[in-house]
Amino acid sequence: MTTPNTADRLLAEYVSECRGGGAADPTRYLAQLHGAERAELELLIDHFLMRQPRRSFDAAAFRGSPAESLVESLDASLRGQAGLWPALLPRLRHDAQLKRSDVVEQLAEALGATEQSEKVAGYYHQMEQGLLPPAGVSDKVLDALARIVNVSGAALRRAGAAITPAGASSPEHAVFARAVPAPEQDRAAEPTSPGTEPARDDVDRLFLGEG
Amino acid sequence: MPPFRHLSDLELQGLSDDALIDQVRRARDSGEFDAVKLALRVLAFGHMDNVERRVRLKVPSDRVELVASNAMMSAITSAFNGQSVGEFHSWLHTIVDRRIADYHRRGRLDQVELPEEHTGDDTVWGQLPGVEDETGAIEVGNIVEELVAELSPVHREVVELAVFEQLSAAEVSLEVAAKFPAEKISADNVYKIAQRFRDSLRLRLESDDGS
Repeated sequence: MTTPNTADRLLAEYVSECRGGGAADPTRYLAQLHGAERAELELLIDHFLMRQPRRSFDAAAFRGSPAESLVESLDASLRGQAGLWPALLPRLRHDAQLKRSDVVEQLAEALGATEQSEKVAGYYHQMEQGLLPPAGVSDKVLDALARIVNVSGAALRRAGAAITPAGASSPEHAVFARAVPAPEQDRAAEPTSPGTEPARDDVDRLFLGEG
Repeated sequence: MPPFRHLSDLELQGLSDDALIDQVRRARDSGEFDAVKLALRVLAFGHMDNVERRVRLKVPSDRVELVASNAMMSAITSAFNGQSVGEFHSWLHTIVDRRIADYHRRGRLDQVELPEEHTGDDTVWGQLPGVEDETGAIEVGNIVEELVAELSPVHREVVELAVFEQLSAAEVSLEVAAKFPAEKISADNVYKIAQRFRDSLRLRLESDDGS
C-alpha cells in the first residue's frame, strides 16, 4: 500500500470532525491544499457529505437556525393559498434590499395607485402571508412586482401556483382562512362579507380579479 | 388511505425521509398544520447542515445560506407535489447540485449581461423554487459518482466503507462478508481496491486538468 497523501489525511480528519458534531466547515480543510490535491479533497468531502444520513432533531440547535427559517417559510406556504409566495416574496424583497414599505411604494406607483397605497399595502401583505388567491392577481401587478424584486412576472405566477392551496377540498381550509387576522393597516383591503361587499375599484380588480 | 394520525417526536425521528414527506402531505390534507410543521422540522433540520456544507464547497460564504435554503425548499416542495424522482435523500442532493450550477451560471451571466437583462426566473441564488419543473433535474457531473458507479457492487461497497466511512480494512472485510456472503475480500484486497480507486480519481483529475 502506498502512503496516504494529504487529501486522504484531511478527509479522515474531516470525517472525524463531522462525526464528533463539530462545525465541519469544509473550506478550512480545502484551504490547506492547492491544485489537483485540493480538487481531490473537495470531491471526496462532497461525496462523503452526500452519503450522510439525516441528523436527529435537536430542538435547541434548531432554534434560530437556517432550518428554522426555512420551516417557517414552508409552513406559511403550506398553510396558505398562494403557493410559494409566502416563502419567496420576503426573501426576494430581502435580496433586493428593500423594506416592505419600499416595495409597496414602488408597486403603488407602478400601478398608478399612489393615492391608494394603503390598500396596495394591504393586498401586498396578503400576498406575503399567502392569503390572496394568485388566480385573481393580475399580470399587471405581477409584472410590476417582478421588476421591483428582479425576477419575471411569469416566475412569480408559477411560484404562486407551485403548491395546491391548503385544504382546497377540505372544510378545515375555510375555517383557517377566516381565522388568520390581517394587521390593522390592512383592514381596508380585506374583502367584506357577502351581501355587504362594496363595488370593487380599480385596485381591488388588480388584486382580486374582475369578480 | 388510513386516517391521519399525530406522531410523537420519537415516531417522526424513526420515519424515513419519504415517510416524513408523506406525513407532511397527509397532515396538510387533514388541516393539521401543527403536525405539518413538526414533520418539516425533522426533515429540514436533519439535512440542512450537510446541504450547507456541500454548498460551502462551491459557493462564496455570503451566499451559502441562500443557495442551501433554496435547494432545500425546491427539493421539499417538488417532493411534496409528487414531482421528485426516486428517494428523497438522493433527490435532495441532485437539486443541491443543480442549484449550485444555477448559481455559477448566473455568475457567468452577470459578467456578460447588463443588469436589466437578467430579470428572468433566476435569482442571485439560482432558480426560484417551484418555478421550474424539477423532474428534468439531472445529476451534475461528478467524477467520484462516475468512478463509483463504474465499480462492481462488491468493490463499490469496499470503496464506500474504506474511503468514505473511514473503516479499517479489517472492518470493511467483515462488513462486506456480511453483505455479500459469497464474496471473500481480505484486508489486503481492501487496501488494493481503495488504492486503485484513489489512483483512478487522481488520474481523472489530472486528465481533466490537462484537457
